[in-house]
Amino acid sequence: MNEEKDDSYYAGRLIQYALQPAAVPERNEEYSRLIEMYLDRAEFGATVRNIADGLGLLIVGEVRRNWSLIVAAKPDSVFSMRAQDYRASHGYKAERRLLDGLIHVAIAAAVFPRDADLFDYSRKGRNPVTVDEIEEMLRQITNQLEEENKNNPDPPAGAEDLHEA
Amino acid sequence: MWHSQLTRRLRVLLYSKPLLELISLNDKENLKTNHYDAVTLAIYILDRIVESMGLDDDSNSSAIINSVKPLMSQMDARAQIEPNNDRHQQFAKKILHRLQKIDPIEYGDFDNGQAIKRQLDFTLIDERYVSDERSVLELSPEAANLFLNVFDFDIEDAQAAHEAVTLSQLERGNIEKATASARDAKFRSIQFQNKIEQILRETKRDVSQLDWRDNVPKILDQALAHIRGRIISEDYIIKSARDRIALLEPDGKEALQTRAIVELIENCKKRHNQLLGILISARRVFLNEQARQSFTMRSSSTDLPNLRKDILERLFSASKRSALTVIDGDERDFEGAMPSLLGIRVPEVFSVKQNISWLLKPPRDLAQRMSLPNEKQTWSNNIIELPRYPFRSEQDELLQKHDKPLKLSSMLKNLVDSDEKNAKIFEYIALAVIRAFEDESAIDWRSERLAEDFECEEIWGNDFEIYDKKMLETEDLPE
Repeated sequence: MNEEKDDSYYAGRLIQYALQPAAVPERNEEYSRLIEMYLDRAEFGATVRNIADGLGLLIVGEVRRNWSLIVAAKPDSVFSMRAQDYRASHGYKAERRLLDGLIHVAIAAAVFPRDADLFDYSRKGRNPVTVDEIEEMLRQITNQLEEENKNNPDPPAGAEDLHEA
Repeated sequence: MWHSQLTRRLRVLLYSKPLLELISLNDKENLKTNHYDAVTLAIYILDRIVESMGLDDDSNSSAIINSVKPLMSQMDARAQIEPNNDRHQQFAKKILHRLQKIDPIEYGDFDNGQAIKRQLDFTLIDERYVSDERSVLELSPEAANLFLNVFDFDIEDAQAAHEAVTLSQLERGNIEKATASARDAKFRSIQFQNKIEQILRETKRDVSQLDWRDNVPKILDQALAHIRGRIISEDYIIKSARDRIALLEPDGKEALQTRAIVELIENCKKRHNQLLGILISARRVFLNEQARQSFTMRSSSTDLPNLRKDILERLFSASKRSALTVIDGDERDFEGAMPSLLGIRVPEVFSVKQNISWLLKPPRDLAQRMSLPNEKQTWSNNIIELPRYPFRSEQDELLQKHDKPLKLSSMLKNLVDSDEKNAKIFEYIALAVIRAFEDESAIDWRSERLAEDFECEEIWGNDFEIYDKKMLETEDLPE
């Protein structure tokens, strides 16, 4: 790497890679070396975290060798994506936004570990989440709610649009 | 054609009329009884009478009326009205009277194709005199059947409904409909199996996440009863279908279709038998998993949220408005869940290089100087959807076969003159012409944009000239 550049330059480079989901340290020598720097030099790690913080980015989880740096946007960040921005269409109505939201929560629920998963050493990693898996989860929940409401199928009178979600 | 089964069902419906009329039972003179749910109280009265039938002491009218009073007190509390024993007494008596004294009901029927009127005379509660001049209340046979059989039916059991429809259609000879219903029943069976297997998968993953003390055993018991009932019902459908096959021509269409129904229902039965095995062994799975998991290392922290149970399932149970607030955020400080779920979006900034490239591109957007864009004018977004137009081959021919260059405006005007006033055809032609301008390589003709505008039947914008590519080889045409 160029000796004339200082840590802030490399910190910027590393954050730039983190902002490109397609960039992977295994296939990019510079990215890989920047991750090494982040792990090996505490002061460089602190610079990266400070710049990321200033940009409204949060470094998520543990940073590992040969693994990408994962960043998430804080709500007030310029990198934050709101529900209304998800689909660039003037017809992006509330119902569609709600459906998209439920699907995204289902994806998060499918990948987010439970206590039991963290202590199950027999499972080293998990397979990627598939569309079918998410669909099945959503169907199970709706069927489960339908089943639970069998003995009390009608919402209380005056309860506005209950059960619609 | 009207048949006797319809009359039977109609009569069952009419027997419930006195109960249904109680829904609108309002005492206009005494507003203090409007808050009582008369039909709810009537159902309770019927239940009390069934409960005490045979026990002479408890089933007289005053005992029944007294048994309803606590419910009426609860209804008073809901309406914030002071309970009053006299009011309770009078209103309960009134309901009881309505169930005992029922005016005959007239209904329409058909006798040998002729419309006739019939009269249904019945009572729901009878008063029977016993010794010592005492009387007891009893349900009439009709009321007992209504209350204990008809009302007790699981009306939302979709699987039972599919099987009932299949059987009914089979009996009437509607083989095709019966086949479709049998397929639906099979689909329900698959869903049911998935549900039970999911419970067992969850149990194997983490036994503590499921309520094996109350909820899961209840679900398993219900499922077991349901599956046993379905297997009996499926046996009956299979037997009926086989009886029918015996009467049909062996290689006829109906016989083949009925055999297909038998196969489908047998498949459902096989699935239900498998499920029965799974259900019977489910408790053993729980005990084994409980024993195994009790020795695995548990997290010392219970802070890790369960997104499915704590968030997703609650969102589904919430009202639409509340769920949307969680997703979208509110107008105050809460940003909503979506920014956290969607990841990052790198904002675009102005780039001189990109801007120059864009400026150097030929202008292909529709002119927007006539008015602000509205929904109708954004049809250019549909260019990629050309294949969805059913009539495209005829119109493609029209676009290709002409001896000299033709303007889009003239082509549309010709269609108007020839009474081809189909907005979809206009739309298709306009989109095809724009597509030819965008990508001339794909087709045998091409279009060039002209400096003039046109408007025809709600299509407006730049006019285009349409050429056959062969013309370009022979004539000098403007590029």
